[in-house]
Amino acid sequence: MTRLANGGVIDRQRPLRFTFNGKRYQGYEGDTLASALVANDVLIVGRSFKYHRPRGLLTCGPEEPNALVQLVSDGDQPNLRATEIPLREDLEARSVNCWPSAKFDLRAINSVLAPLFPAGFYYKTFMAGRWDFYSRFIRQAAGLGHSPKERDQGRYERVNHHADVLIVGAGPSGIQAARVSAETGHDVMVLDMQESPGGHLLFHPRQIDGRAASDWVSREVGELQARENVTWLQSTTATGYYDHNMVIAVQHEPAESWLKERLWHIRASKVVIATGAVERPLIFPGNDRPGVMLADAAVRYIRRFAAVPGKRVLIYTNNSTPYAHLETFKTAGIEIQSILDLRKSPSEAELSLARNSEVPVIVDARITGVQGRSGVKGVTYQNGAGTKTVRCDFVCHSGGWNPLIHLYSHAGGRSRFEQASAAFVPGERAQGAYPIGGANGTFSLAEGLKEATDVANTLFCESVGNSAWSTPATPATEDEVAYRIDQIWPEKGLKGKAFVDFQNDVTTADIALAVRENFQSIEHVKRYTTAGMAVDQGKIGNPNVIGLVSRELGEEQSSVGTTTFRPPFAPVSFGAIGGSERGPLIIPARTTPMTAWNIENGAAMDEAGANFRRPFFFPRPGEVMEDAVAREAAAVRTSCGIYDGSPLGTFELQGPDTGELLNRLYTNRFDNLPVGRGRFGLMLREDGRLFDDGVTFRVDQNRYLMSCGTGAAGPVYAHIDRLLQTEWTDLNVYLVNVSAAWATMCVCGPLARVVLGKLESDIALDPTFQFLDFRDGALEGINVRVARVSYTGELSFEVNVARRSALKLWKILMEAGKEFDITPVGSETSGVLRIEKGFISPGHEGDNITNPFDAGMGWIVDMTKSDFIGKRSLLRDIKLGGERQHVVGLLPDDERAPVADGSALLPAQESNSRSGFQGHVTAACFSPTLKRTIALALLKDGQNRHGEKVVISGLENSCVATVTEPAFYDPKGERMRA
Amino acid sequence: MSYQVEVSSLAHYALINLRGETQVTTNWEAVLDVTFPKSAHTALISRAFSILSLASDHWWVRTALKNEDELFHRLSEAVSGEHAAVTVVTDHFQGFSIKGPDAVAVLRQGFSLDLRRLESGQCTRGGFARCGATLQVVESGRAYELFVEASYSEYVERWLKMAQGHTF
Repeated sequence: MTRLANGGVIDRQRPLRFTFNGKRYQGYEGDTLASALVANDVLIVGRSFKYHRPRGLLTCGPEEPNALVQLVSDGDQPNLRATEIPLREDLEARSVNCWPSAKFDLRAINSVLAPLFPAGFYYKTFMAGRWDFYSRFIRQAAGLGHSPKERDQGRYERVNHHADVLIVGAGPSGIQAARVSAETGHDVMVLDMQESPGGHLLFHPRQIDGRAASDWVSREVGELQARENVTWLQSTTATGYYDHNMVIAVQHEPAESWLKERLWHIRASKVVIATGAVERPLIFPGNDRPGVMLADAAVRYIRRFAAVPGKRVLIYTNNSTPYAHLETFKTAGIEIQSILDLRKSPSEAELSLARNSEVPVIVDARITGVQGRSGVKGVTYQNGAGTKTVRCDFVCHSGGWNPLIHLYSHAGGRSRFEQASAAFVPGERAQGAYPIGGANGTFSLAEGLKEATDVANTLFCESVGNSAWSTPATPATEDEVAYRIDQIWPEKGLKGKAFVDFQNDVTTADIALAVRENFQSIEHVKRYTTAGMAVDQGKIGNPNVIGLVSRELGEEQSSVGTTTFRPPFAPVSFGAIGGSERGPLIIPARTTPMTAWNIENGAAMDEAGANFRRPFFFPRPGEVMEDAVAREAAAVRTSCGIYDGSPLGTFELQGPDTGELLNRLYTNRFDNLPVGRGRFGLMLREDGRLFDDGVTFRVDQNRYLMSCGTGAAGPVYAHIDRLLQTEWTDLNVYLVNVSAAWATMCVCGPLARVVLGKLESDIALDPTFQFLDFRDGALEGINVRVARVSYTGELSFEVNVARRSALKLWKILMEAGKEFDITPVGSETSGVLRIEKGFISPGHEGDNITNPFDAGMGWIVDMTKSDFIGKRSLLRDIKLGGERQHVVGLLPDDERAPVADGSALLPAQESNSRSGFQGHVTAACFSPTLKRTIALALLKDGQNRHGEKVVISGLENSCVATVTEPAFYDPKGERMRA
Repeated sequence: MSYQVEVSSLAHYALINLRGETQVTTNWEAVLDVTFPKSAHTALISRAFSILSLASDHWWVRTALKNEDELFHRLSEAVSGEHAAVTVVTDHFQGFSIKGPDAVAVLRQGFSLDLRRLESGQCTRGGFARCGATLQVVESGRAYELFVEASYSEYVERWLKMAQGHTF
């Protein structure tokens, strides 16, 4: 155990036991899984993606590419970074992408076979034969962990939030920006992905305003959190920045004990990006070996967690940063072998720090190899004096700093290469994003604080147009060693693998190969090599990839350009994305007053469009669907059925111009519809294709009630509302949606009148109550509107009633019809009855090509009207002429032949005049009434082919059928008009 | 564990939808003996009824259910011969009361609107939990009334319970 006796923010009074790769360890409250592993001297935390090389911790934060683990103890979650998992009692995790273990992984054979797996090997190796053969093996080997098999028991929540200023990152710049913004009165929200605020001040001892930086952080944050205009969230990662300044963030373990994660949708006027920067690796052979760690990460483990990565370190750098760490290493009792500096001349300030710590500095030095496979034993380097080997048990390296510009990039920002810091920094403004501090390439604490003050001041002035207010002072800091970096690339043709993207196993050789194979655009190199892709999103490796490509191309880094960082910045769990909308809430299911009754009475429910579920059929004990449908259909044809038509859309239209509006919406006339009558109407789209149909009643001179299909209700309402608001503002019509106000129950069948006649009513059901009439009155004291409308082709009364009374009336009707065996009917049965009648359904026979003439509905199109929606397109169809598909009926020769919807129609063999595809079946069923299979279909020139034979070719069955009129039962409609 | 919120279905109320231009509102004002709220998203609340201004020509009048018929007829007669629309929509909507210190914590899960900007007495319409909804602020931050299309009522009731922190 390598834990310092003192220091860190861990709670040594609260030890925690945990299991990693099957072995028990101990850590403390305040540890992460990664820091606890460091403290327990666990070097190998996983295996690399492609070569299965042993890997250790490289970083200490969300940029960690190696330590991806399966968190077994918390829902078996895959792909989590050990650096981000707070240690908990009995936590259990294991490495991914290895078998049988991380220490001994049989797939490490890939490392030996590495020459066979260069960049783009997929594209070269698996060209011959079938890809699905190879993919079986590749998929077995690929992947980072596995999906959990058990249902996640955690609770998640998704919330919306608005802020004037959103500050992402609670490092010193973020805190200062929050303080200034809060003082201006703005609604401020601060997100920070660490458990505690302070950013890099948590790990590095600094002075602000003459006292310890930690005191400054405590005071400032304490004051800010107490303000009403500040919302402050720790352990919250901003994962994406979208249009209109919407930022999505995941809050881990919120204060509400029942919640596991909360997903925030934050809409802000301005977004201050204070996400800091992450250290960049250096490229050298063996830079992925366990024990090779970024210098800043080592310091963080030591200072925050008192966990020491090793006893004897060698430091390798191309910049000034690690010189400031020497004191930390010394204090932790680590023996510093030397600093290998790629640069030829470190600054005097840097050298002074080395002298103070009595650490030798070897300049112009390059590491040529790392000894050890599962851990570091030593390092070989070259400099002017030749090649030497240094014994050490860990290596700390620093290749400079990468501003975390991911959110800026998500916002649409394009970065630019800044030579002085050898980094890609934000370029021009994107949306309302203001990068500051490390995220803006400002690595000095003093300059970062000043930048924060200035930006917050700018935001205030931009929002209120007042620059006269007194800007709060920027806190003072002590002198810093100036950041200096020389970007020095490794020599070409290195021996041994030097990694540029650790997570995707991309080496310098891969980059060179991609460029040799003429992938010159950085976007192409990215996709060919996979560098910077997937969950890693190039957090630490991207600048190195771009640098190497520029070197291979012989161009400046600034001219190579950058790839685009895409959300999410860090993986987001499916639980957080779904929020509370899971299980029964996954669909906003709609109900009618009869839904519960239908379910209680054994209905098999089915989707009915617009999130409604309707009874499909009502099976009795021992019945299969075909039996139930046959029974229900027979009831409607011979006695009495009843079904719930409440999901249909119903709109009230009021105003003196309603008749004219309906004339324009429908193909037929409505302005001459008498009060008290209804009329069937057909609505077309602008292109003349079927849109919807339904019956509209004229309630009084200026008031109409329109009904439309369930699925079309939303689109039809929006269509009419848009026309009234934007196109036909001259029409005085008000449109009101009353779909849910009315429940509709359809009593249908030859005995329907008898059943209704049993009820006490003031509505005369005599023969003067004709088809498409409606009458208002009461049934058993319940106010209703009864209409003579039929979807089944039988005598039918549609009883419309206020929702509040619907279930009561439904039960009354069921009781009244008991002696006639009134039968509830499902949508499958009503579909069968429709096909028997040959009623056109826009959802079936309308295929985005069908016009009313094709559907045999020319009788409802009044081309003499001055205009209606779709008329112009119909005129075009008529003028164009040519062969079109028409709706026809089909009678298979084999009367019991199974026919599937969608089956293709082909010419019968005896036909020589036609060949190829002739159309398709739009709806088919076995008709219980006709005792045979029937179908409706769209057939080329079908109206002129009645009596011809066609082949119905389905996936499983084919048969020959005769083309007929599309009405199989009561074609004159005498029964429904009875 | 759950948020401190009390959710209940509203009952025994009538809702009448009014559409009309400014000139007809005076007729309705005479019937109700009040001045209609004219700014969108404002409301007038009295003991007998409340009037929600939903758009420049659109209001809801809410009253006790027992007054539904009488009020509908009076409001209709008041604009007889005018271009206006009076529609009973009581059954088309289901109302919910959401009260308690964590009311916003529940509502913000469904509304993308900035609820903090809504003051007592205001109302608004927007998407809520993948349905359309109308929200009336009874007491900003603590008490709200939410109206959704009645066909969504069971879903929304369940949704609100889930948002409160209850499990099924």
